[in-house]
Amino acid sequence: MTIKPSKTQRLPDAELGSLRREDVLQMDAPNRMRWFYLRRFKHAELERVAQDLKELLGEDNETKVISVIGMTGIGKTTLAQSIVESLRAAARADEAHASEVPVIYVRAPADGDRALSWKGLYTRLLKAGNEPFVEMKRATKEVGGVLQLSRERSTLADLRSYLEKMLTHRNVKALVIDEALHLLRFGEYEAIMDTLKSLADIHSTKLFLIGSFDIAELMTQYGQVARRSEIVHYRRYETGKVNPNSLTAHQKEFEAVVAKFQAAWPCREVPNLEAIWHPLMHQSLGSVGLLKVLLLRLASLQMEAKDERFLPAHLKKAFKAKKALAKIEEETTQGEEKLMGACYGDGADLSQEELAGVMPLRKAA
Amino acid sequence: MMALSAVQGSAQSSAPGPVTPLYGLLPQDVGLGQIESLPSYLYGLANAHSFPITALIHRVIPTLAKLHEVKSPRALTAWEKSPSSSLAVSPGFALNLAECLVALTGRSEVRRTVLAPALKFVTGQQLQSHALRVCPRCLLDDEERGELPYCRLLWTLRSVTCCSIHGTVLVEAKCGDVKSTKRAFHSSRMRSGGSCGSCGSNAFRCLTVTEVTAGELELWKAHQIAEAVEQWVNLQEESLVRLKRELRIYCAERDGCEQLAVRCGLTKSTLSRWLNLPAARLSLAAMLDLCASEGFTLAKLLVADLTRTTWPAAVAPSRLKRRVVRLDRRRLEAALDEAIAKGKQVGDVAVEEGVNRSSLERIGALYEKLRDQNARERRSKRTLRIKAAVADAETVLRKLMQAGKVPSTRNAGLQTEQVWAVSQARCVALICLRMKLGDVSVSMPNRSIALNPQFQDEVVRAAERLRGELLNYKTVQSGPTTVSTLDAMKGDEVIAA
Repeated sequence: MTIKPSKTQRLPDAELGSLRREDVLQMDAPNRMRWFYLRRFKHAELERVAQDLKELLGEDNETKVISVIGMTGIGKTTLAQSIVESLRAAARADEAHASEVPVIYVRAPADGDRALSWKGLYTRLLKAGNEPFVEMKRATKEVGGVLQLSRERSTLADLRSYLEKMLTHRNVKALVIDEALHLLRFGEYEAIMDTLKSLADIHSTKLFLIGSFDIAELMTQYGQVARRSEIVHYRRYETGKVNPNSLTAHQKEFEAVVAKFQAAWPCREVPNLEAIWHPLMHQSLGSVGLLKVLLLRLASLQMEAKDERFLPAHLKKAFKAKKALAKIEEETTQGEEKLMGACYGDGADLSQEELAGVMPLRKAA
Repeated sequence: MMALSAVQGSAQSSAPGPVTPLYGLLPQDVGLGQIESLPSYLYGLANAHSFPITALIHRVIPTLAKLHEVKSPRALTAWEKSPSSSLAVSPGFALNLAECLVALTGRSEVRRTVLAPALKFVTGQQLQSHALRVCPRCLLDDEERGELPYCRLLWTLRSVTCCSIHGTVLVEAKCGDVKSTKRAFHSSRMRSGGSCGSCGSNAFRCLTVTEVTAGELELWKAHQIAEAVEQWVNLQEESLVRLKRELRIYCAERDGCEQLAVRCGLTKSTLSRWLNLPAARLSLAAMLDLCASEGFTLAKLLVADLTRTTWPAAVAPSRLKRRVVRLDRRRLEAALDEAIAKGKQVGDVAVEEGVNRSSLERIGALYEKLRDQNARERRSKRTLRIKAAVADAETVLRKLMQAGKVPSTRNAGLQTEQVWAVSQARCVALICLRMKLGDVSVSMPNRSIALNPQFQDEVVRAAERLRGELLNYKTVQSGPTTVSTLDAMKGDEVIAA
């Protein structure tokens, strides 16, 4: 594809994302920044989480409530959106399922109320499920043995019944609620979880809750819910001290990710990021999501400089303030401690003898 | 479940097509040609979405069709009065609506809920029954299966007079619950295709007609049509051409076309025209007669399969060839005389005497006298109807305004505990009266009666009477919206139209 150097109009994401770096370098700064923002790279932790989710989403898997928990900015929403996209693409490949909505994605409402607004959440879910004219719907009630449509506005129970119908008719497989932290404002965790679980029970729908460590308590506290729920912890890479002769697996992976970002750098002059991979890892607390935020800021500063020259001073501006970084690290460490031993794949350890015993018997060659 | 692809190096993803705006609800079908009819399907769709049926018909479907650039049918104006007849009037219109629903629901099966595919093979003449007929036992069976009772497409065909499953004569769905107080809630009632439109009872439990076992011929016809209904949506027009070719060979090998016409009760010219013109079609009743006389099966005949079967003795052509008889002038004159004295209709005399209207016309003066008498009666009836409609509207408007309520059709319905639909003359009268009293928040209803001079005179007279009584009817116009108020401001001048 050939791109004219003078091309300044904003391209759609799908088109922009498919371009090569050489083509993008001929474009203006906003397009290059957007292209860099759209870059997503595979890395070991992301693949592990994706594999865990694939197992939990299986039809034979009885898990009803799945929560994806991770530190701020690690890329949970991006992961959720990619789940939504892949589920949609897989489920609606043919015309026969044109009326189905395999997955619904909403952000939990944060509308300034002190209590959780179930009405707001239900309305959002209905609209995200492509439900037309929600305001025109009327509930049914029995009067003198005859079912009649209510003349009043829809109550919470009515909205719930519309939602149940929608989940069934649209054959919804997964309900993704992002920013699940907002669900906790009400405080009565048990009531919240009972309601959410009953939603998931309606039509073999799996409920995804996405949030930071605050929702870990909600997920682990209640036995009945925990029985059919799993927590998938989207972990950061362990930073640790660097021994140049023997890097840890986490450090090697992070270094590789930095190299991928460097290869996709949106300016002609490319800084040697690989040389500072460890300070970058430390600055982003081992999170690829935070690393990307940092690099976006760095690229933006370089683009604003004369002739788009990279200056070491840009690094100082792009790095997060020490106090802010310490605060994030403290919260993250506390959250990780809460989740220790409570996540998917954190089953009891078996001894070497027991492991040897469980292996299938094989005939000697 | 679906494979979860890991996040790739590129942001590009395969975008699925747009989701249909309405649920992909399948028409109900228990097999054996028992597919749901379109009006019944619309009720099911409204129930699934929790929409009142009128909202679905008048608002949701037209708006979504416009949004999704789908050809939308014109408004179903008579829906409130008679859902089945409003669709039965024009099979083409029903097909347009079905196509619109196919696009909005993504279900091609909706095409099977209309009679339009049959029109490739048979004429629309006397194809549909305008009255809604049901088999109460089928509806009860639906309930036993735990589903909402639904009306079958088969029951809308005039040639089908009995249920092909239970062998009982179809019953006209006239509500037997005459004392029902639930009529007032007509528009708010939750209905399925298989519930009474008047009292709301499920599976038409309100019907009081006793069950009658169908005759052998009726049952044979019902079976033949049920089999054909199963397959006619998939038939191609070329099969009709093939059928005609096969039938010409069939006639040539036997005793000719003329004898076939005699056997199946058709005129020779009709049969010959049908066989020789590729696009010509016979009525469904004529096709059944052809099958009955020759031992064909209708479903096979449509695919040009002329395999013969021996039918029971009762199965014979039911349409007799028209007989030409001499006109008995004296008898007809006597009948017309009697009709003038008793106030009968011309049509009734023709039926009683077994002649057509053109034969009666030959009697001359007596016929004209009866015809004019009938016309006068019709005019006086219309006058009475108009007066009654305007009087109803005037009364309800007066009551509503005295009660301090807006004289809307909804309030009129609640006040009188009756249906006030815009397809009714009294509803049109109410709206026209409001306009005459200066209410600019309503507009002239799109109904022919609203333009009738006699109707307009009555409305003007009623408005004059009301003006004297109701000085407190005031219209306030504020900004872009107009609000009708009843603020009891006695002494204020009425804003006249």
